[in-house]
Amino acid sequence: MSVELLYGVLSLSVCLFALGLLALMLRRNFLLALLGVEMLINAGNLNFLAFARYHNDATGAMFVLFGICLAAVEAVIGLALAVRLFRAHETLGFHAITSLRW
Amino acid sequence: MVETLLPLAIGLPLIGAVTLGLGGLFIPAIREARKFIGGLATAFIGVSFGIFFWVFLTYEKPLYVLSWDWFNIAGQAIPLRFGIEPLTLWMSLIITGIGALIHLYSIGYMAEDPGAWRYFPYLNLFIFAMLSLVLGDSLPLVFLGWEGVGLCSYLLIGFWYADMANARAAQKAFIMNRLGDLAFIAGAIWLYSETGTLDIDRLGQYMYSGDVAMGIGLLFFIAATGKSAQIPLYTWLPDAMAGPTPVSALIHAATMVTAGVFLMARLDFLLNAAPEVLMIIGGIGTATALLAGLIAIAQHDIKKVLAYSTVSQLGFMFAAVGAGAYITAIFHVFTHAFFKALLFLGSGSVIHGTGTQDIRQMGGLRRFMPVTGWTFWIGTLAIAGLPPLAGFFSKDEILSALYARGSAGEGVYYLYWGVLLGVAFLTAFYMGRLTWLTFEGAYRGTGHPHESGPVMTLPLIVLAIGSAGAGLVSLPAVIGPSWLRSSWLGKSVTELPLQELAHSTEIVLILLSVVVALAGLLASWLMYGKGGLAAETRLRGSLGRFYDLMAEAMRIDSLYNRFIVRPYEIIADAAKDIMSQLLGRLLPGSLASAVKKISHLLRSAHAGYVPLYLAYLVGLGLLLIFWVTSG
Repeated sequence: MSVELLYGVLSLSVCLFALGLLALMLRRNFLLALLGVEMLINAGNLNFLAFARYHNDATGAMFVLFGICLAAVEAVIGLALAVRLFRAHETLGFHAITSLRW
Repeated sequence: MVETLLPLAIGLPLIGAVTLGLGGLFIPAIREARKFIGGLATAFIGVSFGIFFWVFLTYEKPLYVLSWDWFNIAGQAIPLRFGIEPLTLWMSLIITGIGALIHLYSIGYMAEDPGAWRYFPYLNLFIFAMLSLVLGDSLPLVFLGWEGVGLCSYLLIGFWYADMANARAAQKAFIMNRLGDLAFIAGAIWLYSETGTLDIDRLGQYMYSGDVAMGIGLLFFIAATGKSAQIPLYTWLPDAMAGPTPVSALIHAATMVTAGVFLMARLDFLLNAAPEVLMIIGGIGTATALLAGLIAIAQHDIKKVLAYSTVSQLGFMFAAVGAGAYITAIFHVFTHAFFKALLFLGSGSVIHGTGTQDIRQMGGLRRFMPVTGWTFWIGTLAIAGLPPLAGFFSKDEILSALYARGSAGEGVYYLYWGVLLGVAFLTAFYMGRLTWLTFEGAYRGTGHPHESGPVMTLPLIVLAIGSAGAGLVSLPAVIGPSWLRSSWLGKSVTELPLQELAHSTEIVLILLSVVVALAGLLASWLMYGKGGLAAETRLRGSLGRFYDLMAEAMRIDSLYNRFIVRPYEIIADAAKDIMSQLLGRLLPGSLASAVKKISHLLRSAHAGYVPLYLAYLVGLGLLLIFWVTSG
């Protein structure tokens, strides 16, 4: 794997990360924010894979397995939270979920 | 052999205090075994005395035991050790010997008191503290004992603490002693900064300049006025009789008040270098002796008379210190220990037998309690200074030392001598008054007085023998060399050189003290022996308002209250008001409003809107990355 390709994949990863972050911060809906988190994790995974290939080292690839697991777990917990939040507030808009403030 | 037993002799009273104290605390069942606890406590002190006596018999050279470093930081070590040498050993014998007798007596005196399980550990601790005070060869150890006796006197004076008056007396004793203790600490620090050591043995080899010796000597003398009840810190001692009577005997005879005189003799090297301090000490001692002697005449409480007589006798001891005759002072401590313990224990026996302390309610008690009566008479004659009883020798030695100092050209000592000769008359008079009113004439009370049991009368008999014979250890120069001075205490105490008096002068002085003692006793017999209580009214009539003043202890207490306690309270109240304004209003008001304003500012950042928190997170992450990469 050439350096140019590495840079290309890393740039893609950064774009994905930035998109995920923006989704998290700008979307006003809990479900869409969850999708943003998903994008963040996958940006990380992509990063791992790019370096694993570049260095020809399987450790990075192994981390990706953990990353996928993490994403799955995050989705489960996140969706469960979404259900509970909806039951409590009857909406998933962040504007209504302000119980973090006293 | 001796070295192995000495730590035991020092430690036994502490072991007794801890085991008996903890035993009584955690095993309530043994609290009822008062005789057992008392017997054990007595045995501890008795064994300790036995060891000290054996060491005394086989004494050859100074011994140092139980030495260790208190701490050792950056090359500055404070070593601690106990030193056995003639002066300290002599004091230890007095403390444990008289102490053991008082313990024995207490078994009988406290037989009915439910608090006896607390009493005996305190008593043992008292003896240990006093031993640490006298045997400590390092000033920190002396100070440990110095504070220890203060604590124990507090515990014992306030022993019956349910009565507010007793608790107050205990606090008064403690606080007044603390004033003296402050001077002790200051003196010790000054000594250390001057010499770099706190070992008394090594301090003695140092050469002190006149000013330094004067400053430090004065500080230690102030310390001594606290413990040994001299002007101006003496008023706690008459109140200290609030405790059980054997405690008074212990405080007045064997422990506590002797500490100040002992300290003066122990620091002989300082005082020898500062003659001005000696003159002050002599003056304070003389004034105290006179003041307390006058007050003692008009007291009606048997223990109060004895308490003021102790203050007065301590004045004699300090006058001796003032003359540079430290051995004479210790000699008076020694003889006084016998007759004052005897008199206090005798008064305890009287209180035990009649249930009152007011001598107006007594009279003719010798018929009911012959042992107490006869031994009390011996004590009275001994303190009055009638030859050949103990008090005569020591008091005569003090007076002739003062006279000799006067004839050596320091005229003020003639004044001290003259005043103390007058106080010797007062001593004989007020002690005669006390004994005539208590033991002779007709019984004026309403109860049925009875003699105390053998546990209480045995110590009285032993002490009476001591009061009669203790003077023989130091005979006047006319009769023979003083054993105490030439072969014992002289080895470790250096007195100010004293010009020897001509034998004819000395005989005149001896005759003078005998005449004065006899005159005092005769006057008391003429008034109280013949007239009984009626003489009291006559005395009051002839002395007028001065009698009232004496009866109210010269109103020194109210003087102190008005000029020291009251201003202090006023300052404290003012400080309290200022602080409550400052801390209660001003500070909280401004502080609270400032906090409130800042909080309002910060509150808007805490909106509860999740994406905003995320933005903080990202911002912080960016900052971190920036910080890491730029570094």
